[in-house]
Amino acid sequence: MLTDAELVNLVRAGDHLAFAELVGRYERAVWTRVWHVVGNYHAAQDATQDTFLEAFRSLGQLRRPESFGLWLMRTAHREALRTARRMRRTATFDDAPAEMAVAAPCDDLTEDSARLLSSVGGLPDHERTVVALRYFDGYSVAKIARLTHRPVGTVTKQLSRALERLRSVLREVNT
Amino acid sequence: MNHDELEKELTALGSRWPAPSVKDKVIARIAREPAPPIRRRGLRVGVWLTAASLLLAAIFAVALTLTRPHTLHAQVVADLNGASAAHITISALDQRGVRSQADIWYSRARGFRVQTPEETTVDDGRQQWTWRTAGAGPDQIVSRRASPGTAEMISGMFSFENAPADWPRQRSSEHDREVAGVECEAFVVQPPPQMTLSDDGLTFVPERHPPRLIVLRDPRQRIVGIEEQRQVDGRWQSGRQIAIEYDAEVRAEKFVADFPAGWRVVDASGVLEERFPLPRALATAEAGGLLFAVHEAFRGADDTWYVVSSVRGTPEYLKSHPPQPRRLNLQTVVLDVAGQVASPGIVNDRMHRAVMASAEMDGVQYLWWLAVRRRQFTVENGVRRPFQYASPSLESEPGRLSLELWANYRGAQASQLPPHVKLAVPLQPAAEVLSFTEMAALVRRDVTRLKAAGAVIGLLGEIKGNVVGHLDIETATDADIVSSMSSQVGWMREFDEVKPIDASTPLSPPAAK
Repeated sequence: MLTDAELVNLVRAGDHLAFAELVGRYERAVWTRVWHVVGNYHAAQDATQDTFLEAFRSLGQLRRPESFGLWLMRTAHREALRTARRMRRTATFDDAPAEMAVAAPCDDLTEDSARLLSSVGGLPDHERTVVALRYFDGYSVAKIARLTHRPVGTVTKQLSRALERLRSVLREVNT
Repeated sequence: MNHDELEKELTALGSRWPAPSVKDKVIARIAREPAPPIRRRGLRVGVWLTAASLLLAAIFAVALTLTRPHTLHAQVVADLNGASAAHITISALDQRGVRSQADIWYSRARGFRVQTPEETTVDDGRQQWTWRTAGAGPDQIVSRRASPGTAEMISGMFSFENAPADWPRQRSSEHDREVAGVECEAFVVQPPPQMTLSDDGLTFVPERHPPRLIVLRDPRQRIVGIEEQRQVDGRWQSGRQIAIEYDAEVRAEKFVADFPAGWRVVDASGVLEERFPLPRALATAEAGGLLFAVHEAFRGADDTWYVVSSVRGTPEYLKSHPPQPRRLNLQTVVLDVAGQVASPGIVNDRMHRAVMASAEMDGVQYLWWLAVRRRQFTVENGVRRPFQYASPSLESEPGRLSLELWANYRGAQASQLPPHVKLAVPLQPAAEVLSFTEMAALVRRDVTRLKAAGAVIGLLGEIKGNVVGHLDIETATDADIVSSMSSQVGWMREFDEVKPIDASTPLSPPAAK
């Protein structure tokens, strides 16, 4: 499996399918993020597409291809905010992500799953990325480390902190 | 929810992911788009460097504009100081419409040489020699003085000292041309409109032939050409032209003072002060910040007295009114302070003034003149008779001459009333009476020497039709000067006729009340 950096370079060389690989690798992490912000299923779908489209067009500006994941998360956040503005939601979404997401769960999600999903969306970018790759897409820690050019120990720590953060958030929500 | 439960829940969420993949839609949308343009770091750095360079260039240009000399004079000085050598040609039209050329060879290490059709000057940076180029002339003299500064003097020869400090300049591509194989940019420098006296002398009118300067600049921003043009009948006619070739190859012999063998070298530094030392003046007096002095006074024939007088600014006056240098020609700069009236005329009811010569140097003006006692007369039945109330002699007492000296301010103070002084001057006992011929010899000797030293000389000629002529110092003879003196004295004495008032002539009637 090619690393993020290798895929990015292929895309820059004109290989569109390489970008499809990147989309598949990160779309859940992106969706989680934008859904956490916009709180609307369809809007999250559109924002996810727009995020990748914007990422593709801006891929030339990426200085470090190995940082594609983090860079993509930032792009997703910007796109989510843009989508939210279009929806005339002028509130500061980051201030109350969980409540908003819970208030607008999609049909295929249970309330607990939606709450969990929203909580993942509220994680810091680097933690959300590894959580999505590890649990939503099933990558091993070693593979995540390789794909994202991070040490295994770093990925492990980020996962551990993310889970602790999610437990804390979910505990607060449940109380 | 413990750690394991959370992991299971997250894994379960991934397995029943609520949103369909966007991969196909995204690929479909980007399928028609070209590969993302790569902006490599190097390129970005290049862009930044380019931007930074442009910014630096802009800052440098502004700084250059602020720090660069603001006049052509100062800019040429800076350009010359930055060159190891230069060859400059200056050409101008004379009164006959013939273009004459002066060549200047400059070397930062050796000095410069100026060669005009009339004079040659060689300056080695410490001393300067000047001698006549064309012919030996009446006196074979080489003037030697301390070097006034090479680049400053050369650029001063251009006589554009004050341009274009605040004159508008415009880029003029139509005047672009190649100079010494280098394409140069042209600028038109427009002096502010000048007013001149109308033909009837009653009003000021715009200058009939307004000038402009075409300035050529090489890619190194150095001035390589200046052309003065004047508009005549709607067309610009070329006048003075200056071309500067920087770093030209100049042979070493150009900087050798190769004046003809046998010529006498005169030290020009302080020659005027040496000839007429102020402490040994016969009489001095101050008025209006000016110091008047009479250096020589001899009794002449026929109620005339030979006088050499000078005027200069007092130290206080020069401090409060620093004189501005004014270049007259390639080699000569004058300091405008004040000048005695250098033309024949009636001074007062006792005295006329006939002028032989004037000289200016270092802000001091000297005058060689005749004090002529007025001798009023009447004409009765066609016969001249002395007027019964004739003016007394200028010698108020034997051997003591009463003089009145006048001077006009120059420069910024020119509009001020002219100061004057009255002096009692002891006559010099060297000679009982000097003839006009002896006086002429004294004048010519002095001015020739001072001319060689670099003084600005004026030598008056005969009066014809109420117009005073001028003599060429290089060719004038003693006889020419004597003729001038005689014609001036004769002309002025015509004004001494006293016409008696006829008692029967009615006065104007009183105005009606």
